Amino acid sequence: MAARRTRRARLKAPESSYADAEGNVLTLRGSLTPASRRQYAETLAGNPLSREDAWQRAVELLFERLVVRWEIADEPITRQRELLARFRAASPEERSWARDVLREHCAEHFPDVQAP
Amino acid sequence: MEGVDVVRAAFDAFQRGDEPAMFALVSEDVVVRQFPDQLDVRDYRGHAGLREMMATWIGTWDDWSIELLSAWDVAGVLASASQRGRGSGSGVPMRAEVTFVFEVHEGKIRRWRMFHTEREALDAVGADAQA
Repeated sequence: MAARRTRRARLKAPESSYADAEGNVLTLRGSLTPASRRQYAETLAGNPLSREDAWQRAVELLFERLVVRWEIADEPITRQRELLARFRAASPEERSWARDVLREHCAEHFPDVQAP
Repeated sequence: MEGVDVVRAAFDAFQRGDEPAMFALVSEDVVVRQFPDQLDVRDYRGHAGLREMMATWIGTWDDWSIELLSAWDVAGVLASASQRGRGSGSGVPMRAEVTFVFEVHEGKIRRWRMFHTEREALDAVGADAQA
């Protein structure tokens, strides 16, 4: 008797891409797990000594959990570690744009999440 | 040696690949902290901690290099530098400025902090002065 194989269909959240004026593109996933939402809320509320640092860390957390690809000058970055490192090395203008993208994406896909 | 001279000498040693000379200018109990807004920010302690931090950051890039642009005394040594490299997986070029604040004691760096901009570094130094 032939062995039965069960294949689970893997659901993949839709992705959204956002381009800046120079054609660089950030691609974000359309799902955020309950654990990530919890951690985000805790990070945003954390560090009473520095609201600014808490806010920036919350932005970084959202970036880490949502961004799946960053195409800069037609060269894609897809590895998680490199994406985060590139964000940390971003210029103030790039960081500002990435924050705007995260806000827009949250408003569209996760209206219950308080955008950074 | 003044604080600025210690910092410049440490950078010079790093640039010429003379790690022992660089570490000779760093206190054994140095405390290093990366950007305060990093999600995983923490203190790296001692020479081993500094080595770990450097290896983690530099290991993310190919052909990573850093150039000291300026350094001056302002309740510590504030130093601006330009770093560049290519993503180790993607090859995407990176060029970014970073500002360091060093505390130098008895000719050795004993505290080393990093900021995205000079403004953030100056704010931190100002906060230190008020504390």
